[in-house]
Order: sequence, then C-alpha cells, then structure tokens
Amino acid sequence: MSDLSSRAHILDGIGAALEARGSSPGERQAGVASRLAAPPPPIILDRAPADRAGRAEYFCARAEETSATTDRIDAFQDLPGAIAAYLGRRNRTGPIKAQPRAPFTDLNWAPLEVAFGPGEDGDGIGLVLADGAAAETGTLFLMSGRSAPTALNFLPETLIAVLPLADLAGDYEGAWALLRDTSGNQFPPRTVNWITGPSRSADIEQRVLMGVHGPRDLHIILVDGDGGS
Amino acid sequence: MTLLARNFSANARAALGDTQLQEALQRLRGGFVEGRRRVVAKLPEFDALRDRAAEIRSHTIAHLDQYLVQFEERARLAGGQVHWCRDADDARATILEICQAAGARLVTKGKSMIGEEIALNNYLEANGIEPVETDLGEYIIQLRREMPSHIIAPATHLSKEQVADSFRRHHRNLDPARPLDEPAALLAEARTLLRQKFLAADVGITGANFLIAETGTSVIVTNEGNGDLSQILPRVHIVIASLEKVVPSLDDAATLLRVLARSATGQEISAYTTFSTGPKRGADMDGPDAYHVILLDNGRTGILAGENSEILGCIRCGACLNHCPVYGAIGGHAYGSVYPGPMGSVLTPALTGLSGAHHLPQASSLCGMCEEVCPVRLPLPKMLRNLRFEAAETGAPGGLARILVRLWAFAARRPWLYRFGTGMALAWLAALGRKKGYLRSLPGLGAWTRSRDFPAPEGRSFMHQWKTGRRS
Repeated sequence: MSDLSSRAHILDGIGAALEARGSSPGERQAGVASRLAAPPPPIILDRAPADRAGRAEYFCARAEETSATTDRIDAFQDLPGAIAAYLGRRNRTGPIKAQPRAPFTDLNWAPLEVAFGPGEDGDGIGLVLADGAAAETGTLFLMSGRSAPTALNFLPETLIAVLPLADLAGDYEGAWALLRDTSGNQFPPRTVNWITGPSRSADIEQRVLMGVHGPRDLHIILVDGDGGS
Repeated sequence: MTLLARNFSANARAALGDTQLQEALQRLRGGFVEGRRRVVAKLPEFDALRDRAAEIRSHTIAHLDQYLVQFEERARLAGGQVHWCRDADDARATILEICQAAGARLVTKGKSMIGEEIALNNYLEANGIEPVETDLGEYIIQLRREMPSHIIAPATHLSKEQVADSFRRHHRNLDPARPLDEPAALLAEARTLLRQKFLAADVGITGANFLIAETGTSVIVTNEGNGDLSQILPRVHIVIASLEKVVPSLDDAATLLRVLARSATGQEISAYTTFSTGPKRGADMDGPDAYHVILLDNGRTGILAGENSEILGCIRCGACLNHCPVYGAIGGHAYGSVYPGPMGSVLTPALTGLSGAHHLPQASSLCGMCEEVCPVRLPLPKMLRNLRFEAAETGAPGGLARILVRLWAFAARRPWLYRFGTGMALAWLAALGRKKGYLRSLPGLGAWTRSRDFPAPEGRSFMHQWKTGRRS
C-alpha cells in the first residue's frame, strides 16, 4: 500500500539518482530556493496591445477564432437587454441559470426568466461572471466559490460569460495576478477554470465539432466603463 | 503495462497494408501537423518559449524530490490527500481502496495515460466497479476494448463507420435504425449517454497534465469538458499522476501551456484548462468532498538514474508522433505499447526493460524531426541511439543483423578492402541497371525494392573519380 514506506522508498530513490548525478540535497534545496527568490523573467509576448481598447479588441478577435461570440456593452444595466437580443438572434428561449452574485442579483431581468443557483442537468442557458481574462488567447478565468458553482460553467448548452473590462489582462501572468489580488489569502480556490471557446472534439476523423460535454455556444459580453453603473 | 512490442515487425507489416488505417493517418497529418505549423507561424516568441519550457522541465527534474515534497505539503494544507505509489499494483490497490471506502459503483474517468499504463479499467471492473471513459476518443476505444493509438487522440485510427458500428453494438436500448452517418450524430449520442454517467458517478478519476508545487494544484487540459464534469460532480476526485508531472509555479505552468496545445493539436490553447486545489471549500456551491492525488513511480526513479533521464521532461503533447515518418506510416498500435511513437520508443523500454521492447528504438529513421518539433527540446534521437547501444551490448537484436554489421565494420577499418568491395558492388549494380538507369529489384533486398526503385549507380565511386582527377 501507499504508506510512509513507499514515500520514503521513492524519495530515497530520487535522492540517490540525483546524488549520482553530482547534486547533494543541500545543493538541491539551494537551487529551489534561489529559483523561488528570483524566478526567470517572464517571456513577454508581443501580442495584445497595452491600451484598454486595443486589448479588448484583441481579446474578442482571439475568442472569436475559437468559435466564441462576443458583444460589448457600457454598463451592467444593459445586460438584460443585450442577453435578450443575443437569445433572440439565436432563437433561444427558456430560463437562464445565473450565479447568485452581484451584479446578476441586482438587475431587473423581466421579461427574461432568471433563476439563481448551482448548475444542474437540463440547464439550457448559464450566466456567469468571469473573474479575470487574458487577451493573448481570448481566455476567461473563473474561480469557484460560495456564489460561483463550477458545474454551471459546463452543464448548460449555452454559456453566457460577462467580463468587466477592468478584469481583462494582457497575458496569463497578468490574469493570475488579478485573481490573487481579488482572493487574498483564499487563493487558490478549489477550482480555477480557464475557458477558451465552446466545448469541442476532433476525436472522430479529426473533424472539429462543438458541444461534446460542455456548452455548444459560448457568448462573452464585455462591460466597458469600470464595471459599475 | 501490456506490452506487445515483440510483435513489432508483424504489426508494422499489417498496418502498412491496412487502407482504412492509412486514410486515418493521412487525416492526422492534415489536422495536427498543419495546425501546429499555422499557430507557430503566428507566435514569434515560440522558440524562446520552448527554451524556457525546456529549462523549466530540466530544472524540475534535477530538483524532483524537493518539488514533490513541496507539492505534497501544499496539497495537504488545502485538504487534499497524497498517496505515494511505487508501482502499478500499489496504485491500483490504493485507488480501489478509496473507491470502496466511498461505496463507489460507478467511476467516470477523464483521459489519463497513467490510467492506461496501470490498466486501471480492467482492475476496477474485476473488483465490481464500473469505470466509464468520458473523453470521446477514450470512450470509443473502451467500447472496442482497444489500446489508444495516439497519446492525445486515442481513437484517431478509426473511421466514423467503425465508431457507428461500435455504438450500435453497445447502445442496445436505442433504435437500431437510427442514422449514425455523420460524426455530429455520433457525438450527440455520446453526449446524452455520458451525461447520465457524469450525474450518477460516485468517484471521478482524472489524470494531470501538471502538478504545481507552489500551490499543491493539479492541472488538466481538455477540449471537451469531460475531465471537468468527471471531477466536479462526484463526491470524490482522484488524480492519478506520475512523479515527473510536477512543475514549480503557476507561472511556469503558464509557459508550458503556451507550448503544449500549439504543439499538440495546433490550437493556441485547449478549450478548458482547469486548476484544482484540494476538495470543495466550506461555503462552495459544488465540488467534491474529497481530493486524492496518486503519485506514481512505476519505474521513474529508475529512469532518473539512467542515461535517458531527459525523457522525464516530456509533457505528452504528441508532436513527435504526429511528425514521425514511422508513426505516420504504421500508426500507434503497431508499437504494441501504451506510449507509441518516438517518445514511446524511449519511455517504454525505460519502464518495462529493453528485452521485450528492443524493436522500438529501431523503429526510427533517426531523421530528427521529433527533436525538431519537441516543445521541451528532448534529444529523442540521442536517447534512441543510447537504447540501440544498450540493445547491442545485451545481445539484441541478434543473428543476421549482427553479422552484417560486423562484416561492414571489418571492411570499414580496412580502406583498401572497403574501396575494393564498393567498387565491385558499383560495377555490378551499374551493369544490372544500365538499360533503364534504375533497378526494379535487388537480389536479397526484395523487401526494400518492393515499394521503390533503386537508382542505378554511374559505375565508378566518388573515390575513384577523385583519384582519376575528375573533380568537377
């Protein structure tokens, strides 16, 4: 069984192999400490523009390449109208399951039918708030939490994700930094989902098809301004 | 690990004659190889990222014990349980014990090569637990009771007709007359059936693309979202990972993710990259109550002590398979190992010993394409050569190959004999092919000339022409 003796056996084996390559435990400890103290500088990609407008545009272009759709609104108050318009274009009706968190809980949704809660089988449309995003590949970052059920990111056929522009970073490292700031000592949460486009598979004859197990459609609504009213 | 590598020659011959397989291999080249070329062209920093990715992997392997202990400590702080397992038996027993303690009848699985390596499904079945693969490709080969033929596209060797046939045979309660001609219909059927499995599962098992020491986090990369549903919905999440999956930090993982999908499927990034740390927190709305990580050795410490320890840096993108002319000609099953292609030809003998797998390092033209495309710059040809040396020292391959190489070596050390021999051979071949300029068949080399012609030599060797002054 995997008990303490297995642990010791494996670590001794690794230690002996590395020792034979001329590295002592002390050197290995020092090597790890020095890399932690001074990690190699990140390789900065010459991709997303630094200004907010250019970055948003870059994000949308990358997301659309993965078959996501995007929309821009000025403030959260415009969300119900923008979502109604999107669903209308798609001929989609039916209730929306939203994360039970602001701004969703503060908005007047009528005539849309919105319920708040965890994701369940049969949810047709999900509505979630992204906690961050990276423009470099059009990727959303979502954290699990008391008002952010992870299953809601995967069970609905259509997922609508709302992204305040203030939470859009240029690259992955920038998005991680944002998430760390938001969560303080709760970081990392149980789950962080990076989501880039709808669910897909090319497992049958290399043909790309959408909506294998997760959403067939991913619609991202960017909220300009500072995320508020 | 089941090993059928000793049948390599027969397997390869059968694969070359299999037209359906040859079509599938052609599609693979069009999809993954072309996709990689496109996204790499769009990223001028790709080579700099590969250098960094290689540095991250070699640094981690050189400090493996430190990072594993750090990972364990952080995972435990987050409420996870870490199990160190020496071999497949150890890992399977540990997983079964966790499943039984949870009263599990049904287990959903994300795609995991470690699961294949330890043949977990058979073991769970034998112990009364139903394992269901949820990656579409893995699900298909599970129905067909086959091994994956590719480390990231396990069912790439199959046609849609073969998949439809398997679905009809196994999904007995559906209308037998339903149309399954289009991949979309196959996918919709699998989605509906597997959704019910996700919802009913007691335990979810996933692999790990990376383990992050800094935070005690496991990472999975999928396009379907199946790994996520496998790990969110059941009460227990078990991660199975081999020792070398660990990396130092979240930022290091970001660098590796930048080269992983680009090298694998030709995507800039896969649809879903998921970072999991411990079980659900107190107030979380969903997530598993328990989180276990199996750290599997199964021969890795032995590899670390050997001369091919660089293979531990592999991030399983599959680029070396996609670009290998040998893999491209015979597909994955011919290798007879869970891990096919160039990385598999190095990893398999290292895990199972060379005796049953000595054909694998020969299954390469050493053209260097695998090293050329490797996102972490593994010296795969060098490692294959190391294994050839080792095989020669231990007496495999034997027989005729050894005698011929000895003869060649004898002549090569005696220039007069070598020149005499090549001169005779050239004159003879030139005489044989004088009329056409090429040779349809060569005595004793029928296998070689069966599929191609041999150009007839001019009749004089380079050395002869040099000596006689014809230097232009």
